[in-house]
Amino acid sequence: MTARFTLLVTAPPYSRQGHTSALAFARAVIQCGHNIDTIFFHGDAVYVASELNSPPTDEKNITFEWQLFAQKYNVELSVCITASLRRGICDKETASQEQLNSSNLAIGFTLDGLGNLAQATANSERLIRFGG
Amino acid sequence: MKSILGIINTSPTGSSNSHEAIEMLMVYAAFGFEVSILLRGAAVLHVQQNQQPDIIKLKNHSALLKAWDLYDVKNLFVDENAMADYQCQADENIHFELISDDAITDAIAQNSEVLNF
Repeated sequence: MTARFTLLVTAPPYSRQGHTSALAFARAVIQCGHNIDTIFFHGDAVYVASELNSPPTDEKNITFEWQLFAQKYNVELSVCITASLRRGICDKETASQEQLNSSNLAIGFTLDGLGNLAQATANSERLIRFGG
Repeated sequence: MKSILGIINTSPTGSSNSHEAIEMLMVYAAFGFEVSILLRGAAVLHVQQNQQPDIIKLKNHSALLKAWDLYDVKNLFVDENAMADYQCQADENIHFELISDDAITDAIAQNSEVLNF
């Protein structure tokens, strides 16, 4: 029997283990034949959605890893808009609305409300959070 | 509809963790989920009386909890052991239920989703 998962990531991308664990878990979910519709980033996890993240070349680029995963398996990378704007993550449309000079949302990520997380949870059998 | 138990472990000050957790849980309630919130550890300080977070330039996030029932949250539980550990004097305007370790175990078992913040 296959199950549908929603992943909620709240850990910061480069100072904690949460994103790496979430990526490993997400790959395992797909390998086991289950489905992931939405990966929702909230709290400090939204920093992963900045296209300006530039780790040294001998380290994993977690933003790129999520983009690859999402493209390969057609998974939505949904980023909390409130948490993002608090932290300086912004897409073009929101930058224009908020009269900000620039935007930095990486390709493959979309800014969404928390309602999107609630909808995804309602449509899933499992909600798994990666906080640490 | 699914039920969610949101367990908050962190103090109202020092990080945005509990504030963002409460925001999220209230949205779940607005979308029809049966939401219960459990305050454990330093999170019991959310119900402490006479808080003045404005002195350190913080919004009073505990004010959200005073109106939790208006946001369609079903239960606000507070860990009775943590209340004693922190010698917390509760704000009488926040209505909550003190619960024991056994009741916490039951609450975890009874909800379809558990989010630990």
